[in-house]
Amino acid sequence: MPYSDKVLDHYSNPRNVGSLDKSDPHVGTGIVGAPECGDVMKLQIRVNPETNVIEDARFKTFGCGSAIASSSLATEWMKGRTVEQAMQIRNTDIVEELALPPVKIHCSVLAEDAIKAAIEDLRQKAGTGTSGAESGERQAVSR
Amino acid sequence: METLPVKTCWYCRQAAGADSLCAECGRLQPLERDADYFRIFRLERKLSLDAAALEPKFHEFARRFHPDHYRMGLPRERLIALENASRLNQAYRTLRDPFDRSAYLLELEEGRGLDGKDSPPQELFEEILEVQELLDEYAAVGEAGGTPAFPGGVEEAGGAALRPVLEERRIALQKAQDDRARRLTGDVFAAWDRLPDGDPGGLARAEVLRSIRRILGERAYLRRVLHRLREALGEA
Ligand code: FES
Repeated sequence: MPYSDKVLDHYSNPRNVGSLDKSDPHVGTGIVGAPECGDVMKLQIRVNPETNVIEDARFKTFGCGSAIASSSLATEWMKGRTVEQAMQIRNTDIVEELALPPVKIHCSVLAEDAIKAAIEDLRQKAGTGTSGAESGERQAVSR
Repeated sequence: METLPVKTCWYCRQAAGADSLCAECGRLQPLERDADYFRIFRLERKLSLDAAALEPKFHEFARRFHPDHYRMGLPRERLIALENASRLNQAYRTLRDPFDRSAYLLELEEGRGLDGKDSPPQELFEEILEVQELLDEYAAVGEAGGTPAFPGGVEEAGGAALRPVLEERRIALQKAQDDRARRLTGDVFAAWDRLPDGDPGGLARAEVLRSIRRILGERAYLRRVLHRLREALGEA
């Protein structure tokens, strides 16, 4: 398969592989899958509650080289950004950066879905957890 | 979509009848433009379908559309034969497989096949990621040929000890896969076929379609992880 150099780089030397503590109130976990191919991706972020900046991001991917590269790149991009900035990451950015061919676009979609799921998890935790109850209520009302 | 008088023969302009050959002039007629695969086989949109009964029907139609019959025919007739044959093949391939058939039904009924937008089976995902970890460890042992530490994994064991663990997983996941298949082709198919016609927005209908979607989705994940496991164990 004609993988680009960047894909190969992330694939053979993936950044930020691993897990964060799922029960940590400031860790958001997203596990998503692509039924088209049966691949699964887990992406986790730990956010500084004061600044809302993503301090750590980890992933684990059961999938193809492009999915591994996409998630590796996504974690790299997310670190140091705020949650709102991370929310702006689009799969098309990943496609562009990694020069993914059309048949591999769904692999980047998986990464975008994982980012969103992780952030969503974080928001839900903030909404129901004891520490974030206030902001959560405010969120619920403003919706 | 009955804009064209479909039943009019393209050649003699007479009423062609319901058959694939015109009742008047005997020229081959194109399949209805919007006919779905069930219709092509003149079947109701039901899921419990006997693949063995489908085959002779397929051969009968295939013979009728065979381009060889029309080598001396009009160019248009040759084209129709070709198009009919290719749609027929597609229909047969899809309908004879219970999983393809169900996925096709989703497309027909809801305008979309399987995609990532459905409630993801989280437990299954976690299990798959666990297997991935085991596979990584297994591969690492293979490369090092030694006994590396297994952080959080199988005690302090070599590949030999890891193998039965993977085999166990494979058997359990295979069983889960078989269970899904049985449920789909059993209860779920029966539930769909029992639905009264002419109730497109019905709750029961939506429910059955949801089950189909869920089972097919899970099956896709199970299939992939099973494939990986078999590969790693050298059984593929
Ligand atoms: S082929 Fe499935 S994520 Fe790439």
